[in-house]
Amino acid sequence: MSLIVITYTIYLTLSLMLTIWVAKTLHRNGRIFLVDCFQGNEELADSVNHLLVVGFYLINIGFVTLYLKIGAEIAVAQDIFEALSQKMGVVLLVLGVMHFFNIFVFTRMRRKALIRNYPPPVPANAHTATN
Amino acid sequence: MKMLHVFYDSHCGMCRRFRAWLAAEPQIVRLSFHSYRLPEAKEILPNLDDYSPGNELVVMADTGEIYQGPRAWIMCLWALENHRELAIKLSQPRWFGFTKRICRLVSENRLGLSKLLFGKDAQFLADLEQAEQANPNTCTDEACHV
Repeated sequence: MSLIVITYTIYLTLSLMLTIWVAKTLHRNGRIFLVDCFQGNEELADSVNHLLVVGFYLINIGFVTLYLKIGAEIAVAQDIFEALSQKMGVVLLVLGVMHFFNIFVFTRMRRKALIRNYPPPVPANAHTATN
Repeated sequence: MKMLHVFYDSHCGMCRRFRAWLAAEPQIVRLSFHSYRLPEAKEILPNLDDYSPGNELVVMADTGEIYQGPRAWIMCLWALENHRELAIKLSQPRWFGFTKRICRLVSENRLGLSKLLFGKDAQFLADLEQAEQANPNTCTDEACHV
């Protein structure tokens, strides 16, 4: 097996493992946020959570595969590490950005839900009987 | 709380603009507008005059709570999807004093301000007043709610 194929194999394995790990973390820890966003509707929260993870997988795996090609020549073992570190660095940064974007979306949704359920902020001046 | 009745002054151009703006915004709690000068307002709140709607805005919830002045303004904003956050902010102690001052200033000078800002409405208001005086019980929906 040539060095370039070894590099590609390591790159794909590491990237996919990282993507799966981040997706699982999001899936597990994002659920409680979503349940709160949907006012305790667990079924809806689980459904949205699952759909978000599917989107996350598609975007990340799509990026990882598109970003596979290494232009530089891999002649010695040192080149493998250099090429891998450059590739993995970018993949990790993209994963990080995606992760924060997800958290941002969750927080925004939760904030919206909190505001929607906020009780009247001022006390009434008077009270009248209603029909 | 599902609905808020807003008793505004239909003779004040600025109040009508404010009403139109409120009506056009997405609402979490439905807003229903009534001119405090028309008899239909008394059908909803028979003792409306006790809350001096001529001096400041009066808002009544379908659950019976009545809000006046700055609290009524805040409740109007609270009913709107895009401005509930502002309502919460304005109701906090550090902003409430400012809200109170602004509301009082605007309420007391609303007719003058309307004339200054929306002078061209003056003729329309004169016509409206004349129509109401001539025939107070047969106002069409259009005229009542403008």
